[in-house]
Amino acid sequence: MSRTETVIGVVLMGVFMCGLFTCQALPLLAPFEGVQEYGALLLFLGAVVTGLLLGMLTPSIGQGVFAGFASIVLGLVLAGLILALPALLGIAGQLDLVSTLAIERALVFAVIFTPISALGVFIGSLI
Amino acid sequence: MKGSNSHGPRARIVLAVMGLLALFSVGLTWATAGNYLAASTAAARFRIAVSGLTCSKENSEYTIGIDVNFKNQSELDLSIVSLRSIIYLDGQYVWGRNYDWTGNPFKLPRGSTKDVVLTMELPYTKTEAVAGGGDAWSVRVSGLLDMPRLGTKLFVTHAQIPLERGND
Repeated sequence: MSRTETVIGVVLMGVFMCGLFTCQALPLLAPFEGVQEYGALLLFLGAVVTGLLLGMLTPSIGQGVFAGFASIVLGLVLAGLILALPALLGIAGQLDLVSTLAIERALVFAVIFTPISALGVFIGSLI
Repeated sequence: MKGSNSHGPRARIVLAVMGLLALFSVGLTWATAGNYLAASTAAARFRIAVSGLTCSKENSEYTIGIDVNFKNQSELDLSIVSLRSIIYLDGQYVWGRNYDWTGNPFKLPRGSTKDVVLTMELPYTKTEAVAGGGDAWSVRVSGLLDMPRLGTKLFVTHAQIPLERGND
């Protein structure tokens, strides 16, 4: 049961992180102005909340950290698929709407957010 | 101790919170991806092509003219803020020039087609290379397109064009 809950939690938080990663990569296309201005901050808070909730769900800190990392990676993969949608649907033209810089920034954030998520896991495991 | 707490009502509450966050995120992603696809469709309907290359000689210096065709078949009004053209002869770099239109962007209203001739004066050091060069000319034109909501985006086109020599 615990493993099932953890897997469900990882998937749900991966979907959650995907939304934040997508908005962070395409800030001008996000529906809310707040997301446009504070995308990186929301991503930071999202990583803490992800870690916190997974820390409350998993039986040990180690598992929580791993689950947090898995959520972030899942979020990145899903966001990557969203960013690749125009190419996948065959509507890409001479313009690249997403710069390689945005993709690199997302990867750097993933590396940074894993320890931030671990901090959330630690707090969550204490609750 | 914590392991036993993770099951039961608390786990269900945590999963419910996660589900709500995921739902919120799906909505956010849906809206962003919708805007993204609309912008991508508009971007795909912007076309640039090099249609001709002319070369004229005045006072022992060559001037190259590059005919560029812009098409904006999208629903958005676009503008070009800068261009850079580079010409190659026999695969070797000959010369390049920047065109900065930041102060007065080149407007491309929706559904419009515009032709521009980019002129480039070659320095005298290139005279011999151009005079003795073959016909394998190629042109690379890149630039920054200003799109509503998206800011400036880079575009690039590359073409191999037969050179028309005039006053040579």
